[in-house]
Amino acid sequence: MNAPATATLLKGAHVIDPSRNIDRIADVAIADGKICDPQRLPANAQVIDAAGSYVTPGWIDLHVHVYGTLGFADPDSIGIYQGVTSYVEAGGPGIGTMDEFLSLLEGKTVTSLYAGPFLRPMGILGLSFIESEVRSLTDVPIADWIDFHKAHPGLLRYLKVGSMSGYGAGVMKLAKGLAEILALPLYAHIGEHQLQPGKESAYDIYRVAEAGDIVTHIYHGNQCGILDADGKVLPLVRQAKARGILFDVGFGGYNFSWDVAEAAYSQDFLPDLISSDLQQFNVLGPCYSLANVMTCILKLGMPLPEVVNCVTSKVARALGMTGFAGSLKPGMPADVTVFRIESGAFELADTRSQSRMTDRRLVPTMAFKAGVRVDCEMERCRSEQNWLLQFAEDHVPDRAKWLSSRQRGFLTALATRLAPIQWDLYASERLDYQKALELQRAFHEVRLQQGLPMGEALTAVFDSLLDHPFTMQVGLFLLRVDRSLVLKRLSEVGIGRSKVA
Amino acid sequence: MTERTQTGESAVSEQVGANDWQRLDGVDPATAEFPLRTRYNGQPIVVLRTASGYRGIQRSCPHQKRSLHDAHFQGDSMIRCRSHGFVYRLSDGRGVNCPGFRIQVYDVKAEDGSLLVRPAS
Repeated sequence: MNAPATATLLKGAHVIDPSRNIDRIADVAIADGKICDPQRLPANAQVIDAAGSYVTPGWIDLHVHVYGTLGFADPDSIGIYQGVTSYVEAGGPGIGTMDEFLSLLEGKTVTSLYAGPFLRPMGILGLSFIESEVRSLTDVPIADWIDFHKAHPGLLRYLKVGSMSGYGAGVMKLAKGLAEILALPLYAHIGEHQLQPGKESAYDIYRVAEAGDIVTHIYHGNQCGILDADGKVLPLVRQAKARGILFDVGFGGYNFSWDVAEAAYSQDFLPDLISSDLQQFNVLGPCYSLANVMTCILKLGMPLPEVVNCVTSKVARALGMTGFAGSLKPGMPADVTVFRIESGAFELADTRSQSRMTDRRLVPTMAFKAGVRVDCEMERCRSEQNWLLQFAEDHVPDRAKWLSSRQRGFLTALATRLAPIQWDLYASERLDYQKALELQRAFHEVRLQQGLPMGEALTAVFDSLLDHPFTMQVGLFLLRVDRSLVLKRLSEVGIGRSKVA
Repeated sequence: MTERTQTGESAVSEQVGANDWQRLDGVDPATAEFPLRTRYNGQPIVVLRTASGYRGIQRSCPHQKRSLHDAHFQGDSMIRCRSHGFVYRLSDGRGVNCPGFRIQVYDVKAEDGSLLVRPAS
């Protein structure tokens, strides 16, 4: 990250700020971390010649995965380094893992990180063969949700649920009820119904959701999409939009089809919001970045100012963030994205092996987070260390040497506690979700007995077994490692000598 | 030269016992192109050539059934499906970033100018 400048002038850029209907050449001034009137900048302000570039409010990606089984080792690589100044973790944690999520990520990213927790207490499992199983939702601890939300004002931006099919509208009503209790929008995933039984009940989301709720993956090409068999937008879907339900792109790994997008767009069914759903399984393609998804929507025919609107002002409104994001109004935190439009011949792939060619694309070049400049590195996210979980099966990771004596004591106790538990993820076709919960309980039981802070305990486990840091639900993490390796390694690291006091 | 069918597979070989070595008819390892689409006892597989030798894998990714014949190598010990980046270890077929998913892997050896395949234990 670049050194902070107290005052900066972005001079001569094409400024697009939909919150104030600005779409023209102008200057944008930043002082003390806030947007200010250019006339009031100090004389020694740094001047950046931004002619030829576009300057907009900092982009907000309302659907990413930086935590959990879909997340990244370097969360900023899909955030600030790609021109995104704020993003929402879409369902990685649930109420049963929010404490783990916060201990690992709170304050650790330059990009402002918000949470859209999943209804399931453990959060998203990342395993498509169980994600839609209603029993995996286990319980919904209302009091815990209320208490957590009160204790962390502003952190939660929506409540996520899969519009699970095969169970009627019950799951969606449950989620909607909880969202109402918490005064949050409901954020409903409508993809992947080809994997689910009784698919038709997925459409119940359009009956359950209300104005201000958000449906994501609108242009997916899987079953239970927004089109009928003749390619017409379903009346149910149009009625939902007319009622004020918001529709989000959520490109994802499976959920953007050119055929669907073009058919819907030609019938004037446009997205209200644009998000990437970046995750381990689409960052090398076809999603790549929010900028790439915005380019896709530009290719569909949406004018650039409206594309910008869908990642700035409209997202801020949808998520209750207008007081501090989505606008270049003087006095706002200086979250700014600078990009250029590159000309050439570019292929835009969807998630179904279909492509379209385009002659222009958005390329973020720099971003400001609360006035601090970061130069974009669009390729940073592609590093294998960032997206591929690498278990250190035949060696103790170097990072384990730096675990403290207390952390080592914890690992020894944890190995003892886990020893009577049997697990083997690969012994059956289906994930033993109850086993993941049992492993999670064991971890926390030992952590509390040892009086070790959450972050230190999680780090001790991850650093003993992984070559690169990842953040994940600890119960799920342990379940996916060979039991014998876990017990051997925790014991081995536990008795080792620490390099730190 | 390797004899190929219209689907790009090497010629079909004789059936063998469930875990026995099967010779791939018409495949000359010296001239064959890898990855090689072929079959073991009728099951579609892909034979890969790695720095440490040959390895066979089931042909379709268990996630969404995409063919793995054009999978990326992840180092020399893993392959990555082109569709969604699911990564599998060539040693035992386990999903690295997709827990619960696993592919069948095959031992492959060159012998007397032919390739022989059998399921890895």
